[in-house]
Formats: sequence, structure tokens, C-alpha cells
Amino acid sequence: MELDTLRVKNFRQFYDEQQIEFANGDQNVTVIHGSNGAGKSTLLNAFIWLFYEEIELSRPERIASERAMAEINIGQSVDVAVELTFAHEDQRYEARRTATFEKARENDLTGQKIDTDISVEYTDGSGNWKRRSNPQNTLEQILPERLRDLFFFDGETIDQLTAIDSQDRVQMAIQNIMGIEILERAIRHLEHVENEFEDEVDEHATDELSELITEKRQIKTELDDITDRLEEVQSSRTEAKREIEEIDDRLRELEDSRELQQRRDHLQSELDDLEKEIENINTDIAQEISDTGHLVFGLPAIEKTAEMLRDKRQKGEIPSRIKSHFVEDLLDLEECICGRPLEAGTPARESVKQWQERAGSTELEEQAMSIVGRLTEIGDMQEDLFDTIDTLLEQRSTARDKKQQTIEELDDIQDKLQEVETEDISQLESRRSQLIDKREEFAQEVGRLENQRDDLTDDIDDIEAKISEAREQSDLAEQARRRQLVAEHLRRKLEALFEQYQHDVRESINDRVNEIFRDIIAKDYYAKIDDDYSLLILKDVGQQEAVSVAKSTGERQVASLSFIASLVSLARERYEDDADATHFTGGIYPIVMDSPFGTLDPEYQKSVSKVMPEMANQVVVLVTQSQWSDAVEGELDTVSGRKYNLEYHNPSESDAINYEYTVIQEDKTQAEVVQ
Amino acid sequence: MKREEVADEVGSETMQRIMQRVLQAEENKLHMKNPMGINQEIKNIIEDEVD
Repeated sequence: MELDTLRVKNFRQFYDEQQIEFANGDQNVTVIHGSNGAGKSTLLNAFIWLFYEEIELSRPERIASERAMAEINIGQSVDVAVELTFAHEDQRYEARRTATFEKARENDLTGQKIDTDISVEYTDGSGNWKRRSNPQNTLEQILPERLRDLFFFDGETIDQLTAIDSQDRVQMAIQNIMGIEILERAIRHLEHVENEFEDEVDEHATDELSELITEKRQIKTELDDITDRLEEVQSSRTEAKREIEEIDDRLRELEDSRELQQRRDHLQSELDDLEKEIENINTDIAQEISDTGHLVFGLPAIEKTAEMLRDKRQKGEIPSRIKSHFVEDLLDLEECICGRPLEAGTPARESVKQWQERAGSTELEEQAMSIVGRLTEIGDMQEDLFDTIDTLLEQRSTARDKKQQTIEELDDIQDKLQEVETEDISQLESRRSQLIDKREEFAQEVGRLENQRDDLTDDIDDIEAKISEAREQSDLAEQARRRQLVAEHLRRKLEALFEQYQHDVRESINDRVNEIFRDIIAKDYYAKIDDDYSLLILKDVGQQEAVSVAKSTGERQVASLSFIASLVSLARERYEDDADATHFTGGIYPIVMDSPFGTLDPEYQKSVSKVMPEMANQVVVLVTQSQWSDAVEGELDTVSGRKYNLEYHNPSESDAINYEYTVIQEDKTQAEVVQ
Repeated sequence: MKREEVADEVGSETMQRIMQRVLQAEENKLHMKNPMGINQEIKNIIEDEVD
């Protein structure tokens, strides 16, 4: 950032619009003189107000110039503005903060703030001015508020950086300006993200998957057992069937049983046919009920509708007995079918015309006819349904009777065969009877086992669906775990980088602080930032030992100044060194110091003045006349590109002045005046 | 599953890209005292890069 011009308008004691142009280049120091109360701190605060909308002065609410407020009437307002033009990262900027204060009453020198605004304009690549949509953010990014103490500071209180409890401020300053803050934040936020991923792992990780797999295995074992048993029973049933067939063959061969066996074969065939017939009838009944059974339930509503339509038909409403076209033809011909004329305006014509309205539309008639026809069909269909069902039930009853007779006859044959005196036949039939029973038992068991097998197969399908879902959950847990580990890996990497970078930066700053400090301090002291970020002033006592020395305020001020100067100069070096990492680019910052020589003795003042141009790219020094010693003047004259006087008009010193105000006057050199 | 194994699996190029994106997100919000939504932003970056 390179300061160009600061314009203040009615800001505190700076009446009307005034400006300061800042020095840069080889003569990079801007010196602003002013007596106590002339407005040096106010100028420092003009920067702070512009960038952060804050005032670090007594009565911060009094922003508008008292003189300007005094000159207006009640209800009128004063515009206050601070505007800074500067260059930053190859672009030119114009930042402007304004506020309007309205005078509420006589002697109101503060006013009511009725409007406020901030704008930041910049030049784009083509040199055109454009406006930033979020000006406050832009200013924050250019000069972050957390760094403001390093750039805009009161020299008389700066020695606080060396106080025993200032380690945090020193550490923060180093971290902020050198870009380490990014690492610190990234580490903190990555740890938070790690925890969030860990929560996700917990959320998705579950024992359900293993439980489901175990359950599936158990069911599968059970299913395998049932399948084995089913095969076994089916095999036994087949064996029983085969044995029965063998017995039947044998009974056909034996003379005493042949006739009965043949009869049994015939009856068995008939029985098979009857069972098929009954099964077919049952299927037909089910199909019939499925196709038209609903008519039984809908019939009352259908009948009611049909009745209504019939009623309307009887009344001649549906369909109308008078056709609309027929009436229209009569009216067109202007003659009724009875021969009476239907001329316009005659009562006869009006009478016929009324029939046209009663005639109704052709479409309605057709639809009504269709509905009545359809309802009639439905009634007929219901009657057909009952007839069909009755017929089928009768057929089934007949078949069942025949089946019963056949079974009885088969039982009779069985009894007869068992009673045959021939031992072989009797035994064969007894065995056959046992096998028939067995076969029946096997058939029942097969049915039961098949049902169990089907149920277990369904259970396995369900569990497999659940396993698939659980696997997805498990995949999510694994994915969250991977992401957690990536976040952790990055965090650890950044922590190592942070430690290394912080160490390097502290070493660099240590060297630079000491270098600047020793340039200023004549004594055998040196400055150091120790491991806990205390800014110390030490003295060598031999044998590589150093002790902290009691410091004067001036020495502490020099140490603090050296610290800030070292940070700013290192940030500039880092910015100019393109080889560094992307996110730790440093930056170019100015230093604006109020009363930096306040508590320094003349020797230190001279030394500070000497190193001042090296402290930053631009240095703005606000000093009182008393601090502007010959020694300081001698050193700064060669490096100060701009000098200003704050000419303070004090009402207590002149009756002609009613309200205080300050005029900024540039202090030109003799050569400039001549030019 | 170990951290190093996952890092190897993801690959150094991807890890470097994630780090750059995370640091860029931090830099964009560095001017904020309390950078709203930064945790979610970092989480999204990792979710985006790591399947």
C-alpha cells in the first residue's frame, strides 16, 4: 500500500476541506508538525475512522467540525468526509467515508448523525474507475483491523509492547503480518472438520451389518436343512409311488386280484379326471366372480340410475319427443304443420319457439340413450353371472358326488383285496395300503417343507436387501473415516509447517529487531524476542550469558519501534520475494506514528530519525514542535519529502476566534518557494 | 486404515490441491474476526476431493 493523498473535510477541528500529500520514493518520510492539541492525533484518527469507523479520542461522538456546526442554522447539516487515495498491488484506489450531521438546536456543536456512507473505487486493468460492491471488506483486506496497531500508533504508548504481559500482542503481530495467522486458523478449522467427519463415522458405523450377515447365515443353514429334508421326503414319496406301481403290476398279474386291480386302475383314472374337473370348475367360478362379481355390489346404484332415466324417458325429457331441428325448420318456413302462419311477432310463432327450448340437444339425447342401453346390458350381465355360477356349482356338486362314489368303490376294492385268501395278495394289498398312507404323509410333509422353504427364501431376500442398505451405510462410514484422516493429515502437515515457519520468522525478526535497536541504542544492549514472545532488552554479561536490563521508557519505546519496523520491513521483503509460498506473501505497509520522539532523549531522537526511512516504504511522523529538535531536523531534512504545519486557531488566545480549527499548511523548502 | 495409507491413496497432488484450496478459503476470510461458514467450506473442499 502506498499512500498518495489524504483529504479531510470538516473532520473534528479540520474545518472545510484540506489535504495532505504523502512523500514517497527516496524521500519517503512525511513530517507533520503541530503544537499540542493542534490535531496530530486527529489526523491519525482520520485514518482509523476511514478504515474502521472508529475514533480513539476523547468525545468520539464529536466528529463534525465545531466551527462548521456553529456556522449553520438549526435543521441544516454539515458534511464530514475523509478520503484517501492510494496504490495497492498495482491498482489505484480512492476510499471515502462520509457522515452528515444535522444541527438539532442552538449551541448544538455535535449534531445528529443523519447519514453515513463509505465507498471504494479502483482502477481496473484498462485504467477505468470502478466501484467496489463491498467497500468495508475491501478496506479490511487491504489493512486488516487486527494489524492497525502496527501501522497507526501512538509513539508515546508504543513501549507497552515490551511490557511483561505483552507476549500475546507480540505473537499476534508476528503471526498477522507474516501470514502465519492463515496457518493457525487453517489448523484450528481443520481440527473442527476432523471432528465433524468423526461424528459422521459414528453416525454411519453400525453393528447391524455383521448381525444381518450372521442372521442370514443362520437362515441359510435352516434353509439348507429344509431343502435336504425336502429332497429326502420327495425321494421317499417317489420310492413309495414306485413301490405302489410295482404292487399294482403284481396285482394285475395275479389271477385272483387282476379283475379288481383293473377295476381299480379304471376307477383311479376316473378319480384323477374328476379331481381335474373339480379343479377346472373351481377355476371357472373364480374367474367368473373376478370378471363380473362386482356387478352384484353395484347393482342397487345401477338400478336406481336406470329407474331415474326411465322416469325421465317416460316424462319425455330424455329423449325429447320434439327434435330441435324440426322446430327450427318450422320457424324458418314461417308455417306450422297445422298450416298456421308463424310470422315474426305473432303469438303462434312465440308458442312454437318455446318448443325449441324444450327440445334439448341432440348430443344429450344420444348420451342418455347410450346410458340407458348400457344399464340394461349391465342388468343382463348380472343375470348371466348368476346363471353361469349356478351351472358351475351344479357341475361341481355332480363331480364331487361321482368322486365320493369312486373313492368308496376304491375303498371297497381295497377291502376285497385284503380279504382275498391268497396270502400274497392280502400282504401286497396291506403293504400297498401302508404305502398309500406313507405317500400321503410324504405329500403333506413336502407341502409343509415347501412352504417353509418359500418363507425362508423370502426372509433371505429381505435380509439381503437390509444387508445391501447396511453396506451402503458402512461405505459412508468408511468414506467419512477417509476424509477424517485426510483432514488430520493436512492439519499435522500444517502444524509442522506452522512450527517451522514461525521459527524462521521469529529468527528473521529477532535479527532485524536487534539490528535496528542497536542502530539506535548506543549502549551495549540488544533486543530479543524469546520463545514465549516476550520482547526483551538484554545485556551480555560474558560466557554467553545475558541478563534482562532495567529499561527506561525511552529504551522500551525504541525496542517497540524496532519491533514494528522489523515486521513491516520483513513483510515488504517477503512481498518482493516472488519465490515464497502463495499464501504468505507479506505486503507493503506504511507506518503512521504519532509523537514517536515523546520520551526519547535527543541522542535517541537523532538515532530514530536516522533509521526512520528504513522502517517502512512510507513513514508519516506527527510531531510537536518541542520534539522537533535540531538533531531530528538535521537527520530528517534529507529524507522528508513532504512537511506540513498544523496551524491551530485557539479561541482562548483570540477574541476574533469563536471556535477552534486547524489549517494544514505545507512547509515548502526555500528552493520550492523560489520555483 | 491409517492416516499415511489414506494420504498415499489420495495422492500427493490431490493433498497439495486440498491444502491450497483450504488456505485460499482461509485467506479470503482472513479479514473477518469470526469467519462465518469456514468450517463448512473446508469440509466441502475435502468432500469434493476425497471420494
